[in-house]
Amino acid sequence: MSILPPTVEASLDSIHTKTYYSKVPDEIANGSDIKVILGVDEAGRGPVMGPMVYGISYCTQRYQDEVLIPNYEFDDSKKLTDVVRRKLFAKMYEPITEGSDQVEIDGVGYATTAITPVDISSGMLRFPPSKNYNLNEQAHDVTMALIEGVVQRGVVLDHVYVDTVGPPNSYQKKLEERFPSIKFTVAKKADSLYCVVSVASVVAKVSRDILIEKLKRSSDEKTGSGYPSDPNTVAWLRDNQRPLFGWPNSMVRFSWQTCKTLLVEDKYKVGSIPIEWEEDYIVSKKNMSQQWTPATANDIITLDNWYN
Amino acid sequence: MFWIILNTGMIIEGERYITMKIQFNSNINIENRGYTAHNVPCKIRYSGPSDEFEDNFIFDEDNTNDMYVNYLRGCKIVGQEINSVFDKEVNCYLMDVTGDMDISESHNDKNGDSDNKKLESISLVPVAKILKVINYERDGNESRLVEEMGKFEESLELNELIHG
Repeated sequence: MSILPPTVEASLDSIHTKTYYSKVPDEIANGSDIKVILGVDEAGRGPVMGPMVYGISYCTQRYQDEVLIPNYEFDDSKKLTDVVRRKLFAKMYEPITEGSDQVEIDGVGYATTAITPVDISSGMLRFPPSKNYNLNEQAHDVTMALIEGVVQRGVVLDHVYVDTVGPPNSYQKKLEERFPSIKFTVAKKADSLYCVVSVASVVAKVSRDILIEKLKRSSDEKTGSGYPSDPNTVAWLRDNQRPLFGWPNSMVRFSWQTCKTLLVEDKYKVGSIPIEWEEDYIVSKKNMSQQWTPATANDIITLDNWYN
Repeated sequence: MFWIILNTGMIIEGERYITMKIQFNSNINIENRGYTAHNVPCKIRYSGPSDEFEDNFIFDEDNTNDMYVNYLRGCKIVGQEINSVFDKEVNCYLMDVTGDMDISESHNDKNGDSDNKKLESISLVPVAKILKVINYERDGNESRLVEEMGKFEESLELNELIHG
């Protein structure tokens, strides 16, 4: 039996960011005075293609120590093979027997937010530049919204572990201010240190990998991993670049320098059409008046030279 | 097939809106089909046909409050329909310049100020009929969109007072 993870179903065919929450495990929903821990990790922060997926998982401290750690090989998702990752995640959502809603790993709740290339790019490319919604802010906001969503489902969180690529201290302070009743540990490589973060890491990575596969417009299309260093991704960018719009906005993060360079330099000679935005003139040595003045001061301003 | 019209002037038919003498060649047949013109906040260094619009320039389904949302090379642009401020008897065309512009060398206004050159006439032909014009600004800069629409409506009102 192989079905799509619900985290993927929730985001399929959407150009905008979507979030999925699993059912709260019975042990947590029905229990009282139990210590629930939660892990946060992401997948796909660096790639030029596809969504960035934030994953969380939560369970009781007891379930992590007595069930997950001794029986399952959860680890930093990058240390596990694709097959192992998918097998582990499937145990969290695939019914043990057809028609039942019982899953093997039944003590873990999880959720994901898939931030799409459209939302990543449009946030990072707002104007004026002071209105830019950078990737770190997007990541922090999504993480806090996911935690908030779990709290709203009645889960009393005791300790949250967050894997981060940025400076941990300021981020931890931000989280503690937002959720004063919850303890936070923000650390680099938290996915290798805390099992509950490893689970979140697997959830995020598998969801992103499948979403990338689903972006393909034909079965033989090779998009690669989406990283700018992947030869298959480079080949895809080269073969699919169009002069005016560049690439499909549902697939590519235009805010990445890789895209900007390909569009401006027209490296692959696709006849890329130059498009100039207002911010391109902010660094110009000419002031706004000089930029719009015709080459010769006495020239008549026509609609044509005004816009050119 | 869509046309990029950013670098092409748009003229609105109807004498009261014309501030220069335009020889409107109505003998030329234009396509029966109507187009939507998108006035985007960037300079596109190209004028001509493109077959990329159909797959790439699709209104966002999250359009709200009569605002149009679209994306151009990753930038979110938010637009508002312009022609809603015109009365229904006004027609809008995409125009192309044919022949040379007639330019006089000097002109004195009633204050005695002199322009060095003055555009006297221009010969234009309609290329396509525009049914809808949408003016866009960047996401984050919507206040300018509102300001521009306000100024445009004010300009039309002034024009009506002076010429109407």
